[in-house]
Amino acid sequence: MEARGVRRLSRFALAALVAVLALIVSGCASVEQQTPVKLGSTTPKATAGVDEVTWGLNAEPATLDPIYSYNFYDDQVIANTCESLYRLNPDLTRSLQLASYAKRTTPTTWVYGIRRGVHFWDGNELTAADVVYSLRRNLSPESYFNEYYAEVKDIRQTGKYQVTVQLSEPNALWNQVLVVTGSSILEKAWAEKQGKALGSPQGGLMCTGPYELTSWNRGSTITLTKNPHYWRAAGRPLSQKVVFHFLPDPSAQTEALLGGGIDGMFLIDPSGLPRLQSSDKSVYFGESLFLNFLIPTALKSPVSDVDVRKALSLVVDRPAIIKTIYHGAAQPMRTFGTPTVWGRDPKVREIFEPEWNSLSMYASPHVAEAKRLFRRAGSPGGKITLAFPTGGAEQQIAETVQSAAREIGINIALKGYTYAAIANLYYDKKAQASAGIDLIYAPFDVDTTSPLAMYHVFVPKVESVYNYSNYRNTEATDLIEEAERTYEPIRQAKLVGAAERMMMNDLPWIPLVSPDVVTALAPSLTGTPTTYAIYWSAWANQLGLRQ
Amino acid sequence: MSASPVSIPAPTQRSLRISMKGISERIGWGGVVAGGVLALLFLVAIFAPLLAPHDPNQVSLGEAYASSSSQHWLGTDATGRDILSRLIVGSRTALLGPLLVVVFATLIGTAIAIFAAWRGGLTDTVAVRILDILFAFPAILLAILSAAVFGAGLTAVVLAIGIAYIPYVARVIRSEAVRQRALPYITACEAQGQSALRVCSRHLLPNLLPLIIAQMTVSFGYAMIDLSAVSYLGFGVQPPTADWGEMVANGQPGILLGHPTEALAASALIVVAVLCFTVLGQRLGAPKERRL
Repeated sequence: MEARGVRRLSRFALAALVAVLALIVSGCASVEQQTPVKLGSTTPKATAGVDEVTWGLNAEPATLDPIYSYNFYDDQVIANTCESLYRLNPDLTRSLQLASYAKRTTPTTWVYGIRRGVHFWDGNELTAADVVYSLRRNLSPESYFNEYYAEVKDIRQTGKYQVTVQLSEPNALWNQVLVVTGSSILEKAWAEKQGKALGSPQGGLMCTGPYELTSWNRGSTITLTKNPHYWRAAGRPLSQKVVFHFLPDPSAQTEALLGGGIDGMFLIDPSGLPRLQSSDKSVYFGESLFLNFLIPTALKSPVSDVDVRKALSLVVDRPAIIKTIYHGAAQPMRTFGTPTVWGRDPKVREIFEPEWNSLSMYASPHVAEAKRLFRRAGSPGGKITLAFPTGGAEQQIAETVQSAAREIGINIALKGYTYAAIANLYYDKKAQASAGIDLIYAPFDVDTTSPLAMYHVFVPKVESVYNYSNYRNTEATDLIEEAERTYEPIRQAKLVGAAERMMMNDLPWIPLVSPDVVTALAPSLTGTPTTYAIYWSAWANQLGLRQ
Repeated sequence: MSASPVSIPAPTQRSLRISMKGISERIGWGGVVAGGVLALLFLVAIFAPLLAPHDPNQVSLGEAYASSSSQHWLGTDATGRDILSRLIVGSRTALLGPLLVVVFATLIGTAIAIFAAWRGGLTDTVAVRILDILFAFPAILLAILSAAVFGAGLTAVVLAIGIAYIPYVARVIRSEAVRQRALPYITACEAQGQSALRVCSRHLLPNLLPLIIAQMTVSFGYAMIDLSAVSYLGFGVQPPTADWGEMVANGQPGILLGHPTEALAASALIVVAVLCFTVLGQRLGAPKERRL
């Protein structure tokens, strides 16, 4: 133990020395917090490509099989390699991609034309059979996107370049599903040959995207190489190669960007923002569909009382969280979405705005009103156990909520989990029950600009895994179901708006903040979108040198 | 043939009376200083709620990363919590955790050591082999595994590290116990017909006590490092409970942003406490002539 002790002491002495040096180097000159940020959808156009771009991912993907991708780091790779029938544009609108047309021939029948002259990386042409095969994979309950395909009765080839999708009932969300990675089109014959190796480092992918997956060294890098025969002239890659490095540690992300170890990264931990903004790196902020909530998990706990939930929501200081924890790179939530989720149609936005404005009490903390509501609930005693992911902004928010709740007499106990451990709680109600938790901090996202997609979670027949507390309001969910059957956007928005008012009165979840998409780039590079679109559509193809 | 008288040494029993002069002579000035610092830290831990100027868990986002002031002597952390209050209250878990580890490991380790030394033969050989196997498991690895199975928190981690420390304690104590077992005073006790339990508890254990205390003191420092490391990794003391190891982790982003006080102060306290325990432990265990 003697030698071990000496080594350990030396290690600690070294750590102390490093800390002291950090103090000296920093000269105690703190980096100022910058607020608020300006949101944009793209970076300036690049003028030329580069040989190689090195990019940071928050973690290494477990698989690149599109139907098993649910992490944003998987999606960032798949988005550059595989394509869907639709793509999500930088301004979060949708355009046809591998589909040449989309027609609704009856309220439950969609016919898609498959674009001709599109080739997979191996030179084989894209056919309707590939589309049918790829979309049908989501009908398996194993697909992480299966919930979106719940109302699909049949997907069949109705011509060499035509696919018809039959729904069991009209579904306004259906077409929006066709932008997500789960709906990516793979080459059927190739994918069947790969079997379970599909999406693995050994099996890889066979798609039509602007970059080809050329290597995946487990624990090290993923390399994409330019597809010189990419079908869309405007989307042909500028740069030859994109090499992804895996950087889960927030400090390592910032250091790699500052030191030039990587050329760029999305979704940077907010703690590194002030340093990046005060460096020569280009930092951009874009609209996101990330929605952070506190979701009750227990059916019987103080938080199952609506007044307790409202009281909690009223004491959360959202502006302070955004300013201090996110350094300005987040938007406050008042409803189950943000204005970004409403979409771009001004007539639709007009419908949701009044409800948003009427909930101004959640724009800043109202301690006195929160106390009143808590008293009205009978000031229930007992602890509320809140599960949260440790080590990042979520931990700081959880601690902030706990401290604020204490001010009005609500006793919250915190239970921290690693990101890997809490993922189990998000998908498994039994795990939630055995963990003895009442509330869970859930980073959520809606995948598409539609409030309907958010409220759809509460429709009983969907049996969404996220409706942890089995929230039921038949009147509201009947409206949501009717909205799902309504293709006309204004009528659909009115139905969702009416349901939203009822649900905000029930407040089954406590909305917190919506973090922005943060993009950091080397000063010489430009060309990427800066919004949530990076998860569903190619973004590296226009990346290149700044003029 | 006449029986010749046999001289049997009288059984010894160490006096447990402790005098300040005796202590200072035994541990030297370095040990006295180390002991003084540790006594101060323990006093701070005991009276932490009275000494902390602020609620250590009170978040005030408007005061995040506030500089030193009359209100917050060491400033505030990323969520506006008073760093000094967190250091004071954090001393409780920082000192309690290692204390539990050391007490647990010492109780079990000493029992195994004395039992193996007393029985000798195959029992001793088996015990030594089991201890050798336990040596193969690093304490931190066991703690992380235990946190993964039973959930993060002090209890599971303390138990795991305590188990990992048993062979370190047992190995040292056993060597001395084997040596003592062969001494004439033990033979004398046995000749008087005293039971094994009585000999071990009344005679052998008191003679091992200085070594046990020295070993506990040194182990305390190591346990503190291990527990701080586990808390740093997020498996030990859970937020928002203040703990020095957790503060080092929590303060890490602050270092890069030019607010190193939280991580620096918590690191410094860990270094000071570990250093003091190590010095004191070495002084207590070292031969008198080597003490300075």
